[in-house]
Amino acid sequence: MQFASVNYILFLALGVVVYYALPGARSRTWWLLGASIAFYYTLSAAWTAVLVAVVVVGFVGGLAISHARDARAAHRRLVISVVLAAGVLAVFKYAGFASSVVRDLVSATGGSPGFSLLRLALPVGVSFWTFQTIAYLVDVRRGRIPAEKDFARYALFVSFFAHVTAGPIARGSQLLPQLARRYRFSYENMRSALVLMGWGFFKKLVVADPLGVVANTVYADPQAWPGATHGTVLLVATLAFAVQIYCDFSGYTDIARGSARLFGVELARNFDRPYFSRSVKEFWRRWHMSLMAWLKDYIYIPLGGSRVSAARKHANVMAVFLVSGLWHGAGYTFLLWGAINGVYQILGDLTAGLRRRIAGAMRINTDTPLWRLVQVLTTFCLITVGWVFFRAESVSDALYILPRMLIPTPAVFSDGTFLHLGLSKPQTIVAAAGALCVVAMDFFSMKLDLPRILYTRPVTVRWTAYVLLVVAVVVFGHYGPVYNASDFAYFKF
Amino acid sequence: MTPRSRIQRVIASVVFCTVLAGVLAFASAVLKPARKGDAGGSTWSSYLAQDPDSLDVIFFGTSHAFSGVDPCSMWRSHGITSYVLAGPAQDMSVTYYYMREAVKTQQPDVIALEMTAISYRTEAHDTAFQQTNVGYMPWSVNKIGAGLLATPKGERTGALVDLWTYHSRWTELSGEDWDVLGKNKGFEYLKGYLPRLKGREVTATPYVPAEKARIEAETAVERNLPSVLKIAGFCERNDIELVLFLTPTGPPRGYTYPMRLAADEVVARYPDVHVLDLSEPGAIPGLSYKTDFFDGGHLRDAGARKVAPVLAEYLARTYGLPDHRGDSAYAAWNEDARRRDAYVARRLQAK
Repeated sequence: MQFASVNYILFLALGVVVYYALPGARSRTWWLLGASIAFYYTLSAAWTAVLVAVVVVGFVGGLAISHARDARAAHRRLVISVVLAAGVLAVFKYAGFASSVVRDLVSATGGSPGFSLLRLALPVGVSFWTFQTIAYLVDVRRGRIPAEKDFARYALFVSFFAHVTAGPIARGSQLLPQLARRYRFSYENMRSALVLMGWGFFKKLVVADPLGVVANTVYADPQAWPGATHGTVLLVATLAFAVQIYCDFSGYTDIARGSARLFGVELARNFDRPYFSRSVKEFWRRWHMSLMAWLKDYIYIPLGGSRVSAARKHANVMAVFLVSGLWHGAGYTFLLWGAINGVYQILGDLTAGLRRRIAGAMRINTDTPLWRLVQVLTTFCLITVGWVFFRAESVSDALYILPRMLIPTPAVFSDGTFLHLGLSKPQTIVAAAGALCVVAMDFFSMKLDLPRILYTRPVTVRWTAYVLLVVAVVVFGHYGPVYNASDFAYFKF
Repeated sequence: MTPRSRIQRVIASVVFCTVLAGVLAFASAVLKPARKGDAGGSTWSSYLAQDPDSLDVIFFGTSHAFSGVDPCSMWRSHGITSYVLAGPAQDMSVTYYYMREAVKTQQPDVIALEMTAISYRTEAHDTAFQQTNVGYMPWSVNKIGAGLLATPKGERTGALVDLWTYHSRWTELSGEDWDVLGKNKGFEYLKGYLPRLKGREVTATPYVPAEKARIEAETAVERNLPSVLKIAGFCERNDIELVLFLTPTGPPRGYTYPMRLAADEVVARYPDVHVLDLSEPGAIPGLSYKTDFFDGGHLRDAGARKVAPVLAEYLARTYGLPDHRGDSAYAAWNEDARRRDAYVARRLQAK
């Protein structure tokens, strides 16, 4: 069952009605847990047992750590539990990549690999719920949270349908107390949840999926678009992907957060208008925030963080981004994508003083809107270069696209080339207009509380806005038999 | 919050949901393609425009039915009133719900079930046809039944939710699409028949090994027989005569064997059910493989006109159907037959 489906809407409606009809927190917990397991089963029936196994590992591991006689025993139990949870991720996600690396190395040294590649289907959302489990175990070990004694509540914490497929990666300290209390129905909460979901569907179905058609068409066979004649097509497809990946994942997150809010559960924000960042460092504070916070808390800081020598700090940064790359995908392209972003950060750090001095010497006022715009555009360009590796099917494809997309070929705008990218002219216009809407909303929401402004308008204005949002999603959205709404991109991570 | 303001919020929410549902229903009606009486099957709007309880016979089945059975010609030859409520490549499980829904407004003496679909195996299924067959049924328990129980799992949403299927038509809307009340009206006088005017000579299709054909036919019959039995049971309970029939097809007449297999089973349980195989060589006098077929399976208008008197004669004789031609209550049928001829002449001229 995908979020972008009629079945999900019906599932959610039934879930809400029964949830509020149930009297106590405990019965509600069991109801949401049952719904979550059923939800996951419809998505990935064969792997539901894997999810349940990881839940059991986390629950038992947490209790075992909290009941350990001494710190050594607790640490030993933590290591065992984390290895078990991470082992699931390693087996399902990285075994295939590891075997391909070994095969490549053997081939490179002139040998003949005597084995075939290991390929396992990936349980949906495995990277999210294993990371969440690891965070929980470490937090219990560190004494930040007590071990959860209620199995149903813990199982719901990991498998809650709103975040089980693609996060946000929740922390025990944030989510477990919310699941323990009995939430009272709130009209305001319900309304804001539905509006958030509606906006998420808009970003996903009206913007991300159509632009995904363009990106997919070009990236499926980049060599079909020679740089000399179609360089701009490569650039447009890359820009389309940059918008797609943001609208897809932030749209998913909005739907997930809205779905959880219907049940009085507040999930963490995952995006804070990242494309308005003025540096790559800032971008990574505002993009996929729950993952970056996880990497900071459980990798960067344990490695010493920034309280070490400059060289060690930069090594730590690189380690974080290489892990981030591999977390997103077991492949060389993702590894390179992580490395590029790590290099950006290190270079940014190393040149910060120099850039400040140059700006001072040239008497550039760095606090003007124009300078901020230059910084935002520069950051966007740097991040987009990274997206080429993220999206390309192979490193050679990425290396083909990168130099060629900078060759201007304006003729493609008038010779009908764009009609071969999978979208008709009206569809392209609607997707572009939708993307502009997203940019505008992000821009204005930096200064204004847009939901509050909407909720304080007269009823006719509010209702018109709600109806227009729903109609836009339903009519202009890419779903159904003509366009198979592509899976949320982050499900595979 | 006071009880009063709580009630106000509930009322406001209900009103909002109603407004939203209305807007979506309108959008759905605009985006759903028109389906007039000459659409080629699933012509429910045209069917519901027929005078209540005015039909002697209702024909169900596939495109073979709406291409080969011409109610106006049958009226002209024997004064029988009938309608072809078939659908493109319609699965027999859907036909069962069609029949249940159809008898809400008509009480026919005879239901004639065209049997091509008895040979449909699972892989013969077509998503677009299923959406047409179910999607154009009027909203009812039967439509939901067809959408949920007679539609493959992955296609249920598309069959039942029009916006799911047709929302992307916004790029091709015309002025007619906005006429949500009138867009499906027109050509009711064709009575569900689709006059096919183009034709080609039918030659024998490539040889299929007899053993393979036999196994495929038996597999298909095993799949579809339960639906035919449900239809037969429904007819018996409602005191409606049932005839299983085939329209003429080109050689090698691949539907005959599965039809016979199924018919034997049905007749064994429901002895009153009749069987009529018009695909038998010589069943239709003067029928030509050279001039009377649209393709190897479907008749063109010239062929359907030849079938009509034979079929009408069989129905009138077997079931004692009255000749309404002298009955003033059925005078409109004469006008409908005239308009049908004019329609064909107009299209021939346009060719």
